[in-house]
Amino acid sequence: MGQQHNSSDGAVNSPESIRVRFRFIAGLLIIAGVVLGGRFFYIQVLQRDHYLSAARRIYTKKQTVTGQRGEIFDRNGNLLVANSPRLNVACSPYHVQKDEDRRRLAWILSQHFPEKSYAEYYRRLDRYRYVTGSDGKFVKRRNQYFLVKRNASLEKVQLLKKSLAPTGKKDKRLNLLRVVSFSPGVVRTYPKGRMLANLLGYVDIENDTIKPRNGLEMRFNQAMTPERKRNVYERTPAGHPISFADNKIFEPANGKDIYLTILEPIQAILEEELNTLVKEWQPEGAFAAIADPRTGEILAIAQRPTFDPGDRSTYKDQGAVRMRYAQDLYEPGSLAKPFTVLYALERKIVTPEDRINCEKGLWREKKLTDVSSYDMLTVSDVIKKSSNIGTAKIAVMLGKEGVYHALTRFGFHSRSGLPFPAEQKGFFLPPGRWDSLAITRIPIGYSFSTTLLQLLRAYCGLANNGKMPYLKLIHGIRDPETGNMELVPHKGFQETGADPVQLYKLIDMMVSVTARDGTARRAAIPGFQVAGKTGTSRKNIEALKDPVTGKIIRKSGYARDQYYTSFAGFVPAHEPRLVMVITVDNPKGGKGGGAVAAPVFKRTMERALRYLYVQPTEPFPEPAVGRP
Amino acid sequence: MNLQPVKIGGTGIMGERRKRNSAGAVNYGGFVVKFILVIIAFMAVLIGHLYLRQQSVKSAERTDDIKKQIMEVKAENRNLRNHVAGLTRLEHISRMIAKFKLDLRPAMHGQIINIGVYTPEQAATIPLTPLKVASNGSYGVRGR
Repeated sequence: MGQQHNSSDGAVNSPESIRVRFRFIAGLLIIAGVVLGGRFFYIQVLQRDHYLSAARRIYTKKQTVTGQRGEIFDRNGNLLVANSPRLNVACSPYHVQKDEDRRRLAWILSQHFPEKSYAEYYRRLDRYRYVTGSDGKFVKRRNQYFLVKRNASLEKVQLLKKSLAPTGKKDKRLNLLRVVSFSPGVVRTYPKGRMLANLLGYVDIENDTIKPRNGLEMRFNQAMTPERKRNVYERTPAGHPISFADNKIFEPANGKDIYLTILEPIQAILEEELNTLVKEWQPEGAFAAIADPRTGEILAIAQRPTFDPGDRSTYKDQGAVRMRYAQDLYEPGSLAKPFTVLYALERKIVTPEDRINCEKGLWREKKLTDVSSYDMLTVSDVIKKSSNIGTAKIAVMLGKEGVYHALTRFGFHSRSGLPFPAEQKGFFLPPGRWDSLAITRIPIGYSFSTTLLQLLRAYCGLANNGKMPYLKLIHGIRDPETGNMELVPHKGFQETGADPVQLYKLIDMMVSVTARDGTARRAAIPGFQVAGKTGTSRKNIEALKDPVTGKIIRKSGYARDQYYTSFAGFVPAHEPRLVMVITVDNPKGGKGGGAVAAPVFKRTMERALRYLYVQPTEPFPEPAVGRP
Repeated sequence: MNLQPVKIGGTGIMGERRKRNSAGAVNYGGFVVKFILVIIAFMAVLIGHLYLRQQSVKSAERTDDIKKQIMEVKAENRNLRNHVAGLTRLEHISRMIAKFKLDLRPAMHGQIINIGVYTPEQAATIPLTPLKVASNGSYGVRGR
């Protein structure tokens, strides 16, 4: 057998046969190699760009990333405007195969996000969606993405996750956490609610881009806007970036944080007291500001009505949204009197003891009246009793140029120094254009208009020995990347040229305003000398026409029953730590600054001084008694 | 002594084979071994590359997961910070004081001498003696 086998294999396994077979196979391999090599060459060389771009499309991820928008803080780092982290909740209905699971998911979603009903969720969780194709026919597509809730709070998502999670190891139902996904989002929030709303402004979101609409959000938008970068990286099948690849991954810088000079506790006190005032007097508006006269730094600024930046429905009222303290012009009334009297004292035209004939309340020649009839008043009493006729007579002695200088040197008709583009400069005619009555009207705060900020600055000038600071609102701008705070330099002071000796006398007069027989006794604070001045001015209103007939119902001019009532003051009188100006627009049932505005001053300042640990300068009128 | 080099390969079995090969046969074994070695080396490099790449992908995923966790913690931290800011506003505190009828009010100037926290039993032992008010010489009563 073996021999037979050997003999039959002899021809097959002969060297010649093997050589032939080997050459044949080698030939095939060479041909295959050449074909493969050719194909390789075609793919790798000739079609390289095509396939490379096709591959990159699959494994390369492009992503636009932005940092966090800058936040706003008060002087002590209390948060005023924040970026709140949120989560977008989405799910993939295609992966919910059983109807039972679909019902369960719809039910859970309807419980946690009741904006949509159970039926609506159930409908939206269909595994397929039907879209109209290019040929107009319905096309069935896999429903792989359904945005359940945009910007859900972390707490809500936490609860949702608990509901979605399996109840235990024995729970063999679909794990709904696998079909629901969460992606990070962020919203702009205002943790202090309505506090400082007008100053801070608000933002809208258009196409995932923040659009600032008002206030500091708009003014400092450039500084607060974060860096925007485009990341390009090779990704793993799960979407993670591959570390060794040639990736371009950036960490975009966050926007800069803004630190204000505002002190949140004092701001809160002011807001609370304005709320009390609104409840008591139901005015059309009220606005107030508190500043440190030594630096011009604004410590609190508020207005009513205001709006809630977290509630879009409150944005509609433009009267509530605009910054009335910077934009609303009004005649300051008696708040202007101290400036004229001061200049008259400096020019030695009058002394505090000089007596002025106040015409028993009616100066016919100049068509001017006083609220109460006074015969003869000293200059001190002119301020104390807020006599229009007395002040007008002093102004006549000063002359037009003198009155104009007395007011404009304290910053009337000029900007306050705050970064508000919309701040009004006011209306103030030069003396050459005054009519015959203007010399008696301007010193008592009529015939020119001002803003609350101008008044605040002017009173800071009085309180600070005639050195009038430019108001300051921005303490610094902090770069969150480096942690460096760039302090905003102070703009300095404007020298008014006021004589400190005469100013001291004027302040004594203003202290008497808050004495028992002054016009603002309700502004007196136990333990402190308060220098202040009340102001009441009639509102200059536009003509009112009947919308149907077009007839004029009410003529334009000074209203008989509508007022701005104000109070401006500083405390302690001779070493002032705080200056406050408050203006109330048309309070119901009261018109005097002493009755309406002065109590707000008193309550606010009392609390603010306590917060600042300012020690009382005067003995208390009666012992402080603790509550049993 | 005349020493001549001996051609060992020319004798024995190996010699016979070599003779046969040199007579026209090819040494396939050597070629195949070399080829296999090249293939093995190539495959080893390829597998090594794939393994390292896989490890790198895994570590990238792990890094990404940790980054995500850090982001979540940061977000949670930021969220809590915002909540604290909301809860510390005076408006909220005032509302809570009213809601729970705490009857709190700010102290008057010069009224606070020191502040302490006492149990009701301890508080009962503190006498209500008039104390001199720090700054102005007037008298107040220390309350319980």
